[in-house]
Amino acid sequence: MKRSFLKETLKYLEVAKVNYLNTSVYTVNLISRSVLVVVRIWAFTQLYQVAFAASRSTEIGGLTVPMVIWILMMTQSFQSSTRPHVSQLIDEEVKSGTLAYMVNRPYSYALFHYFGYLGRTFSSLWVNLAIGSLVSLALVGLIDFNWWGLLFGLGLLIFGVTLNFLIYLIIGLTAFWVEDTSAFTWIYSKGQLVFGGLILPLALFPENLLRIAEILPFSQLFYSAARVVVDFDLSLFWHYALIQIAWLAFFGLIAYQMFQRGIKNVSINGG
Amino acid sequence: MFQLMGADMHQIRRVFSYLGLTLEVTKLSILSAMEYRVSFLTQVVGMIINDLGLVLVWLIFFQKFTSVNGWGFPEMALLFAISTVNHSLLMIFARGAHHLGRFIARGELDYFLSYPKNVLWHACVSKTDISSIGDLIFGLGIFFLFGQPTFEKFIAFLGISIVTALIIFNFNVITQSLTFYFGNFEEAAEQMHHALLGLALYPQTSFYGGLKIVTLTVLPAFFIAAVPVQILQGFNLSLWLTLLVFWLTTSLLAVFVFQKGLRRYESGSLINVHL
Amino acid sequence: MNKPIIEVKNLRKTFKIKQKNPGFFGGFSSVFKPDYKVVDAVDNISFSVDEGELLAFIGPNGAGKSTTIKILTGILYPTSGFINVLGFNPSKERQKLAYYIGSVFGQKPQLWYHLPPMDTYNLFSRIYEMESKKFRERLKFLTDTFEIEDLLKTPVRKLSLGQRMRCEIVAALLHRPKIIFLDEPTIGLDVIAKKRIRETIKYLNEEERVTIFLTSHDAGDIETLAKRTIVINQGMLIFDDSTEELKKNFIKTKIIELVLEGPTDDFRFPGGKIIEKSKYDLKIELDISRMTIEKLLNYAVENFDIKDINIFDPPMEEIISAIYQKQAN
Repeated sequence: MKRSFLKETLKYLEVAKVNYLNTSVYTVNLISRSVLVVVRIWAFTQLYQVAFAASRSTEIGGLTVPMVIWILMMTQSFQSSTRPHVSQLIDEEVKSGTLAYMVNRPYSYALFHYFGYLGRTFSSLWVNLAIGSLVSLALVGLIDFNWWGLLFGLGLLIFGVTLNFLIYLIIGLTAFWVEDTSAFTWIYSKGQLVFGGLILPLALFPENLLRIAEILPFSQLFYSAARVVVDFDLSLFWHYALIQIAWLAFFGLIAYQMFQRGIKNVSINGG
Repeated sequence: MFQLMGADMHQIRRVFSYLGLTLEVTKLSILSAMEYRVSFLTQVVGMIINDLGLVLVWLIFFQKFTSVNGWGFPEMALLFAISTVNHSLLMIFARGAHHLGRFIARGELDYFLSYPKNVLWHACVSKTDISSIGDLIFGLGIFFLFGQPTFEKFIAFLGISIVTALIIFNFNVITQSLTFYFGNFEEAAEQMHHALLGLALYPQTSFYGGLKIVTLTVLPAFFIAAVPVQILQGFNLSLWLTLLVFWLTTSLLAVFVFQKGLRRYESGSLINVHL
Repeated sequence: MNKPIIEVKNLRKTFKIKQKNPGFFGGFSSVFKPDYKVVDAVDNISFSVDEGELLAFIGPNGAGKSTTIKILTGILYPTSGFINVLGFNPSKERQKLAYYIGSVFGQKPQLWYHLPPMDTYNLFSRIYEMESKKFRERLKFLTDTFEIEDLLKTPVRKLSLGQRMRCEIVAALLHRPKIIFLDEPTIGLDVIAKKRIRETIKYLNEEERVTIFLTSHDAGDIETLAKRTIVINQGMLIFDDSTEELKKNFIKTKIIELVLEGPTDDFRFPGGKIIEKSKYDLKIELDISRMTIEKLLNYAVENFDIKDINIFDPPMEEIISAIYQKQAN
């Protein structure tokens, strides 16, 4: 029987939709997440206004205070939307043995989780972005957006969100071999905090550290998209896109290998 | 007169008996976790690495910006020392405070209500976060490395850490207990906890206006971050008093909100009614 | 004896259930303007229990059993009504009362899962403020009676379900409670473990004179243990009399399931009613006041090759509708 590409796609979109709706039901949760983003942006605004004033400059590393705030608003919104961590879900499925029979269902295990994750992410993403934008607008005003920046930024965001998924998938799959994966999750999220432009945009890093940070995967999750939206630069876009693609290929391969070996483990243990 | 003293002795003995039991329960929790040694170690070491990340951000930040209204890296280091130690004390001895909302919503308070002890105490001490041992080690390490420690300063540091831990505890009890009233407030309380810790970890001198009011009230970062750092930089009686008064006020509020809410506790019965 | 130690008069408990509108904006509106539906979980119940009684408290899911127990132990506040347990008002003197009662909830263990039972027992001795000599004596007595000597140092997660339940009961008895609330004590246990638990419950009641308040889904628990049974349904008390009375009047039938080697078409037994029939499988309802199980089995064995036999009590719903019918007449 020939599998219809259209039917396959619709199936996964349905998975995304169910997850989207399921997250949307918890209104109080969605609002409280956005409130957290608001508090953070507010704090950042005051922090950077004071810090920029103290160093007597209006522009550092090509960024003004409003640009910094819009970048942080986006990175914070993106990151907060990707909760709960997929790694936790997969970790539980590996340990409980649910994974073993899920792989026999008529869908790809990885794609099933990927689309579920996309659904959940986008259900809170638009709320976060809408509220975050309003607050940024009120605090620092509008900056010079460029339609190309938005378009190319969206592209980088999709890559980045996918990259984030792959890394969580890998962390979750380590549960095949390691008792406790939560330590990896923290270290990963701290990597994001330091090099992911969640508190300090990379453009404000010292020059040589910036070069290194840009190549690391952490900056390619959410920061690169936010950076391109705020100040569009085609060569910067290509620079980031190439790094993302390289990491996507690398982590994709690792995830694939781990999955294959893990499944073998399951069939040996579970036989 | 003697009667009064007798009552006081009784009260004091009660407090000590609760403190002793707290240590006992925490010891059992840690022993439980030690049954899985690898996991125990990964959690502790993982948390230390995690904390190092945070320090790294601010090291980089202060490469670019030398000071934020008088705060530089030394102040931030003190802040990290206090914040990790107070948070770890809270999470080691009373992590249950962070789970109250869940206990309430899922009817799990039943368990604690069947013992002849204070429910709030019992629910709060019932859980221990193992990774926080890493936090504690890290915080003490930072204090001894960057805090220019003297004996008096160390005692002050411990005192402040305990009082601020109790303030965060009160904050958690109040926010989590709102689950009694709103039914579904666990995630919101969790986010408020993160918002408080988030605000507490920025240079405190940068806040003004409305945000300053927020840090003095709903998300009292001022009392768990700005005041402690200032006290550690030079003894200040009025600041100590401020801290103690704030702790007392929040304690009364926490007990009030919880006790009042407990009357509305629905246990797991609602779930049964639905069946 | 004959001194009531639990007294309940006109007890009522209502819950408000928040109604939620579907969808994102529905969710919004229910945050700000919630709709409530009021449910009576316990509706005007009165009863009393004497010292040393062993009472079964039964009813279908959601009947109000556990709500009543939770009010008696001070876990829930009643909406209205009078309650007295051992001279205490549970909703005002919960902590004091807790020293004198014990509870075992089959599905909610008290023992620390990763540690040996001994650690939990030590902790309990401190929570209940027992003198260490009295604690050691009591523990020795209980470990001997329940034969758990060898289990004391094994982590709970490594014990079997039956062993675990015995250790749970010991935990609930350490502080010499006067009343024990047992909620589904035999749930999930096999026949032998069930029997053992029932023996220990009986022992407690007869030898230690402990008053026992038992809820169970297992008719076997109730028949072998309780002299008196209270049935509640939809929050109301509909039966309060001896278990013998309940059996005589309302549990008149048994259901026998037979799995045969051959087809069931020719199965004709005049004393029973066939309530379900498939190719090899039969369910027969038997009125045991008129017909014995033995006769049915004899007929079956003589005429068919039998693969399997199961005997069930009628479902709770049936007992309840029988009670209602009797009341209507």
